[in-house]
Amino acid sequence: MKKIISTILVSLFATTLAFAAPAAKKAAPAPAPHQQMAPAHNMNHNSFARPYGLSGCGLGSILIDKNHMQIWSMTTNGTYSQLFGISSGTSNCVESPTSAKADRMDKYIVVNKVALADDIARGQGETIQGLAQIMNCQGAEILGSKLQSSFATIFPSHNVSVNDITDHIISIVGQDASLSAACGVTMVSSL
Amino acid sequence: MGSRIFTVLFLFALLFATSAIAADPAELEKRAIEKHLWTNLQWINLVHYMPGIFGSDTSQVDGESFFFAPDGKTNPKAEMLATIHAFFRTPTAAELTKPKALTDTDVQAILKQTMDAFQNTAKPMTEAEREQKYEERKQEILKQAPDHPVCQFPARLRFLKRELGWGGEGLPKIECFKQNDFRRRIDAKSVSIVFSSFYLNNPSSTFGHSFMRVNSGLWAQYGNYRNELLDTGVNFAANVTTGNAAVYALFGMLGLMPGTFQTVPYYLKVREYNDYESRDLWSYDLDLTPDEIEMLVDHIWEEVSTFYYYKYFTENCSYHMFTLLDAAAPRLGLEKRLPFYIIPSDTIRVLYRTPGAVKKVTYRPSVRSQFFYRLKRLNPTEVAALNVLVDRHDPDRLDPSLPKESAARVLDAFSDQLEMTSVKDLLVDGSDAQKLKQRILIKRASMGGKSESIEVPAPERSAPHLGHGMRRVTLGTAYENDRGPSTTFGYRFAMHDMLDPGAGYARNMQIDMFGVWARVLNRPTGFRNRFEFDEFNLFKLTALTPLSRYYTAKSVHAELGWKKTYDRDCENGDHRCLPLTLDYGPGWTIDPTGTESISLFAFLQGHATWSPNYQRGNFRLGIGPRVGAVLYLNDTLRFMTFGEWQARLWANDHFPFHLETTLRWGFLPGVAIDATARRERDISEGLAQLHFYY
Repeated sequence: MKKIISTILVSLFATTLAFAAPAAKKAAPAPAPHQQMAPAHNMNHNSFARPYGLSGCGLGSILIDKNHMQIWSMTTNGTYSQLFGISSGTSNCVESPTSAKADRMDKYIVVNKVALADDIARGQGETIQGLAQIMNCQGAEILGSKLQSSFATIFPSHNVSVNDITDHIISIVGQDASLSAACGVTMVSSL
Repeated sequence: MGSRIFTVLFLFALLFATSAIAADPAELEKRAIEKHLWTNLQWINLVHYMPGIFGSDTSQVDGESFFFAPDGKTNPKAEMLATIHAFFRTPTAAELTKPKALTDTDVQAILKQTMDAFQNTAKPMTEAEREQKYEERKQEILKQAPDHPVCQFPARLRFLKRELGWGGEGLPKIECFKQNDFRRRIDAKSVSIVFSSFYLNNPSSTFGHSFMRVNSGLWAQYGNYRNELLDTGVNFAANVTTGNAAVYALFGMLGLMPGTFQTVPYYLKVREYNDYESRDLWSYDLDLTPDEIEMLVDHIWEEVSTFYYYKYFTENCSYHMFTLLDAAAPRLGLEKRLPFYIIPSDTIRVLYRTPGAVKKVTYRPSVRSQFFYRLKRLNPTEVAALNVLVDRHDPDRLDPSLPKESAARVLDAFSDQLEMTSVKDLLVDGSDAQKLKQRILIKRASMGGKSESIEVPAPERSAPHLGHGMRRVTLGTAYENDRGPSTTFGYRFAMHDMLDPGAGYARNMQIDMFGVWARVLNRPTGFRNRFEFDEFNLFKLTALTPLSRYYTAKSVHAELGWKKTYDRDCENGDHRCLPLTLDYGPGWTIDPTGTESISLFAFLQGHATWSPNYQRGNFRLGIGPRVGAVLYLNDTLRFMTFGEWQARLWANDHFPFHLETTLRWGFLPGVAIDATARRERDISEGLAQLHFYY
C-alpha cells in the first residue's frame, strides 16, 4: 500500500512538473519566447496543445516501473481500465476519451519511439503503417519517404520530446498537399 | 408433408409465444430451472466454477462484485437466478447517463485532491488511515461511471438469451456506453495466443509467458497487409506489490497477490518482448467461430473488472488464457487438458494438440533475431564495413566507396545492432547510445531510398509447441569402481538441459528446476541393498553465450541444491556425502563454427558447500575452472564433456576434481537414452540412462 501511495505521489509530482513546464510553452499559440524555445528549423513550428505532459510514461518508465503499472486496476469491481489509459494508451499515462489525433499519436509514439525513428530513417516499416492508421490516413503510400526526407526535422536532436515528434510529424503531413488530404490534417496557422 | 408444415407452424407459434412470455424474470427463472441451465458447461465456465474437494463447485474468481447471489461463488444455480433478476433491475440515474468523459484534467484534479488530503492533515496519518483515504478516493472515481448488470455482464446475457430462446425483451432500456466503446476499439476479427520465448536474464520469465491477442479488423482499411501493432493484447498478470524478487516468488507461490486481466495495445507487448527483452514471439491463431469471438470479447469485458489471486505455478498467466477461451468456446475443454502445475510452454503444447483449436502458427522476430538475419544477408564487403562501425561506434567511419544500397544496408544493420546491445540505454535521455543512434539514423535518412522490408523466416524447429515435455523421469543403471552396480532414478520438474532433444528450445541454455536423483546400490546376496540420494536440485542454470563482436557475451553457470560428491573429506566409509552446494561462476564461450553446432566453454567457478558429514568444520569454500564442450550433432544427438577442478579452503583434500562426458540420443519423441562416464578423484563411474519427457 505504501508503495502504491508513493507511486501516486511520485507520478503526480512528475506529471505536475511536466504539466507546469510544457503547459506554459504549449498554451500560447506562438509568442516570441516560444519561438526561441522551439528547435530551430526552417518550417513553421506548430504546437498542438494537450492538457498534459507525457513525462514519466515512456516505454522506459513502463518497463522499469512495470511493477506499478496496474495500480489502478487492483480493485474488485473497477472499470479503471476504461477510465485510465490501460486499455487504449500507454499504461501509466492518463487517457482522455475525447483525445484528439495528436493525443493518440503521443501515446503511440511514446512507446514506439525507437522503432519509429528506425523506420522513418529507413523510409518504410511497420510502425509507419501503424502511425498512418493512428492518424487515420487513407492511402498514404508516400508517408514513409516523406517522413524519411524530413528525418532531421522530426528528430532534430537525440532527446527530442514525444510531443515535439508528434507536432513535427503533423506539420510535415499538413504541409504536403496530398498527405494532408489523405490524413485529414489541415493546418490552421499560416506563415 | 402436412404434419411437417404443422410442426413448423407449431414451433413458430411456440417460439413466438415463449419470447412474448419471457419478458419477465419469473418466467425466465422458471425456464432456467426446467432446463437445469446452471449445469450447462458454458455457464460453469463463464462464472469459472471448478469442482471443489468435496464435489461442490467453487468459482475461481475472487472479486466479490463478480457475483450477484450472496452465495454465488459456490452456487451456480443461485448465481444464475440472481443474474437474471439483476438484469431486470431498474437502472439508477448514474447508470443511465452517459459517463462524463473523465478527462485528463479531471484525473489531475482527483490526484491533486488525494495529494492534498494526505498533506493537509495536521498530524501524519497512519498507514491504515491513508489506505482508507485512498480507497475512498478510488470509490469516488468509480462512481463516475457505474455499470448496470446488463452492461457489466454481456457474456452472461448473451448466454442466457441463447439458451432461453429470449430476445432480451423486458430488459431496461439502457445504452452500454463503455462496453460499446470497448467493443468498437477492439473490433475483434480473430484471436491468437501469443507465447514469448524464454528469457534467461529475467528470472520471472524463465518459463516463458503467454497472453492473448485480439486481432482487429481495422487494418483492412489502411493497406493490403496486416499490421498487428494496433491489435489488442489481453494479459493476465499479478499486481505486484513488492520489488523484492524473493517476496514476489513467495507471494506468487502462496497466491497472495491479486491478478487481473488487462487489455493493452499489442505494440506495447511487441516493444516489451521483441525489443526490450529480445524475445521472439510466436502466435497461435485460433480457429474460433464468429459467435465464439463475440462471446470472448464480451467475457474479456467481464473479466477486466474483477480479479483472481495469482498463483505462480497453477493459476498463472497462461492458465487464465485457457479459462477465458473455455468460457467462450466450451467445446475446446482446454482447462481439463492441463497438468496441475502449469508452465507457459506446456499450455502451448496442449493448445496445439487440442483438436479444432489452432489454425496457424506465426513468428515475430526479436530485435536480436532481426539483426542476425540482416547480418546473414550482407555480403563480405558489407560485413567488413559493418565491423568497422561496430568496433569504432562511429557511423562516419562508413566506407565511402560502398554503393548507396550497400551503405544503407550496413547502416540498418548497425542501428539494429545498437538496439540489440543498448536497448535500455536508448530509453535514457542523453545517453551515449541515444546520441550514437541519432547520428546513425540522420546519416541513413540522408541517403534516402526505402530499405527492403525484411521478413525473418520462422526458425521452425524452435517453435515452442515442438518442444519436449518439461518434466522428465529417468531410469538407469550405473557402475562405480569401488561400490559396484546400482540402479538409478530421477525426476525433474522443469525444464531443459543442453543435451535434451532440442526442437522447441534455444541451444546453449540449461534451466533445470526441482530435480531429484537417487540410486539403490545393488549389493551381493546377503547384504542389504542401500538407497541413497544423488542429488536434490533446486535450480541449475547455464547460459552459454558465444563471444561475438556484435554483443557483450555473458556466460554463466549457477546451481543450488544438495549434490552428492565423492570427497575424501567425508567421514562416511565410502567418502560420499550430500552437501548443500552453491556454485556460481561467470564464463566465456566460443562458437568456432558460427553455426551453434559446437560450443567451447570455460568458467571460473566458485563453490560453497556445507555438510554435517565433513571432517572438521562443516563448510568448504572453493574456486576453480570448469571447462568443456557441447557438440550438437543434430537436434536429437548431443554430446557434452567437461572437467572441474577446485582449490578449497578449510579442507583436508584441497584439490578435488570432476570429469564428466555424456552422449544423449533422443531416439523417439519424448524418449532419450544416454551414456555417461564420470571420474571424481580416484573413483570412476559409468552410467546408462533412459529419459522420458512428458
